[in-house]
Amino acid sequence: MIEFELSPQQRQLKEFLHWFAEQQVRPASLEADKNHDTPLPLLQQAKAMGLSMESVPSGGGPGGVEGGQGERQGNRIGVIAAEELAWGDASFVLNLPGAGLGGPPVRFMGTPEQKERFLSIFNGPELRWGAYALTEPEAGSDVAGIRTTARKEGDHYILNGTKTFITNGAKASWNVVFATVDRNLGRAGHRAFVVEKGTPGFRVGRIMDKMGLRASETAELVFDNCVVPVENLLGGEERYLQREGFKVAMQTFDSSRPTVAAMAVGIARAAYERAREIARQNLMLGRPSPRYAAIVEALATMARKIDAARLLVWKAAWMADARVPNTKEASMSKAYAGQIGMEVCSMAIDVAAGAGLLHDEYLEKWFRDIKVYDIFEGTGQIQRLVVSRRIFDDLGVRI
Amino acid sequence: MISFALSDDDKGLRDMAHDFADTRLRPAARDCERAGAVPAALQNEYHDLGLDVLALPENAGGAGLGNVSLAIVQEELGWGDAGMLHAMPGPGLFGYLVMATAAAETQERLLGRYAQGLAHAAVAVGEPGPGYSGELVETTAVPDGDSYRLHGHKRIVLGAEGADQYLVAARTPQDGESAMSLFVVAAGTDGLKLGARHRTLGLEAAAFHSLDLDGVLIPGDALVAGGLTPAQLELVQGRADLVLAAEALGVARAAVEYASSYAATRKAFGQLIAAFQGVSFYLADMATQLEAARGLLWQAAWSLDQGQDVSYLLPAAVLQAYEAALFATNGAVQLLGGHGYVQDHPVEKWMRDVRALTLLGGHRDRLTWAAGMAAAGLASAGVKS
Repeated sequence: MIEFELSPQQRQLKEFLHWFAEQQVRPASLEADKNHDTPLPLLQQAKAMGLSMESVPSGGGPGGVEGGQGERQGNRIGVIAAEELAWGDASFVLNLPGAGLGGPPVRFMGTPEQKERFLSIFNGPELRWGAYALTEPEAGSDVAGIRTTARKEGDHYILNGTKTFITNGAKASWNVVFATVDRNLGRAGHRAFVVEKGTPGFRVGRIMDKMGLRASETAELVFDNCVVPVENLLGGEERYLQREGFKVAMQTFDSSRPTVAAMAVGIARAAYERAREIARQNLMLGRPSPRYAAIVEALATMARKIDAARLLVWKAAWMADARVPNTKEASMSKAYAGQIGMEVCSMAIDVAAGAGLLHDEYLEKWFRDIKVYDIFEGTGQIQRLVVSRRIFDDLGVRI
Repeated sequence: MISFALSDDDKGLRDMAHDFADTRLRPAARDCERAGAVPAALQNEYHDLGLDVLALPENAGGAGLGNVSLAIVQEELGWGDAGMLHAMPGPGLFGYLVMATAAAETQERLLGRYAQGLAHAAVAVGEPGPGYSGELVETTAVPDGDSYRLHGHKRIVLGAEGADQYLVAARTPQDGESAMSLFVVAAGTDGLKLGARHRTLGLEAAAFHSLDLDGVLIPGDALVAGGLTPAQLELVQGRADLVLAAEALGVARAAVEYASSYAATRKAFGQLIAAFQGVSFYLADMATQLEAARGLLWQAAWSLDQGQDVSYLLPAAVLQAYEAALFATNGAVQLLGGHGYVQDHPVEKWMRDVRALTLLGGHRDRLTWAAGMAAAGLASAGVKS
């Protein structure tokens, strides 16, 4: 039945995470932005609470909150959590320890041995990360065009190439790296490897400075005759007889895109609430403003777009929980949230006027942070490509 | 638990409404538009299916449908044809306003007849437009013994011709300077004069007339709701706005489907135009905005069903739906190019119909104001609206 009530468990989680975001995450976020990292004690605290990058996108949550025996709700819990935490600080979410975006491909296609080997390292008390290395300097949106090569030599693959814009790529214990065994084969030539830190021939090129999300690490990774054991080929050789490699690269997005969209909703909500607070103070003090009606309209517009975006996110997450194919809806949520997130953060600065300029008012940070939500995990244009392809697929036309 | 799953009952209703829209409304839409009317046979079918009284309470012979279900059904019917829908029998928008304001016995008295047989009602609230904004209403109701005497001119009244009763808004200065009251006026009452039929932008299967109230004498029990402020008048229209928004989404969905199919067959420069991203991205945006708006409208409907405060959510959802529907129907005409502009294809009609639909209920500026004030907590904080 159509319903929009959070379950008691979801509500409890949301309230708890909101409290944590308000008390701990946001107050640390400006320093984190300046220092290019979330303070270690905060991450340790998150880890102790059971929060991980793993628990956020794929469900679960602090204290192993899961759907239990009842209806599967991991994706819905995940997006609720992502929104609340990103409301505090989006970089913090990306810095949460765990397998991160590297988790889904390992889980979707890893052999039982690989899952055990690569995922169990996150069970201990240490802070560890996994990462997902797909994008290349010459292959961003066009991920099918990756050039990193994998050449088999005996019991090893030799990787050569460069990956870029890799979130947590330098600090990660391992990266899931996509490479091609034969560029002429297109997507069928793709292979996914788990490349562990310290693998010979693997090094971090540089850490990139960014407009926003500055507390999140974005790395360039270099593979220079990097020697990867065959046991690290995800899923084993047989798996790649079809076009599984590329499919796996894409499958990850069905669960990650609504989560990323939820983060955009969280940032936009933060900016909207701050703008609202500033507007309320001015309006309630009775300061006559010729902008009064315009400000009320701006607040209405911001609020409804944020709420509409959240509904797209919830729908995509609900579909994922129900195991209904959600590629189109996942992309819709990401396209819309990325777009309106930027609009809202910009409008918030208008409403706040001068306060929008100041670092310690947060609004300028959120304006910088939100931009990338229309870029990473597939640009707004790629999302529209995905959505329109699905529309025409349903009409039996391949574009 | 968050869920977008339709109940079996809702699926049944949706399928029934869709079937009617697909086999009865859609094929007849152009003819009805040109004729400016819906054939009696179709009106009978609509009535026999009970589509006219779905929302009425059970004591008035209705199905007592909740708002989520109503939003689902009205979207399907709007997908069929919104113009015909507003020419169909039943209490229509009159019903939602009466349900929001009148006591149960009055509802039964005023609305019971619609389940019995074919009958129409009309709303004559707004001035000068057909919507519900109260600020500009000049019609007055002056007490005359136990009765009232109405004087005024309603410039645009939907369904005025053939209605058996009207809901009329009039100023009642005795209740306060800006106070207004809602009265029910029976057709044929002395002094009630139907003016000429208007030609309109859209929804032409339905008729719009002007209505003169020239000293219309009505009994005291014709008062449905007294002493409303313009803001309160806005509030009682909530369900009507919800229904109109759902219909607009339905029309827009039809437009997106039509434009998608067109793009999947039309060729230019040696390929399907679907392959051009100027086209396909536009369609993706149209579909995405509709999906987002539908989610928000369902949430608002659900909140209304739960008895929650929807003073922000409802106008916000209606605005979102109108914005998406206007965008999508305009986009459909645009993507068909010259073909979209001529009447060989339905998209130009849908664009006009959506534009007209958005004028029937709460005005955009009013909805925006209400949503913004409620969202900011300013209305409750005592800032003057």
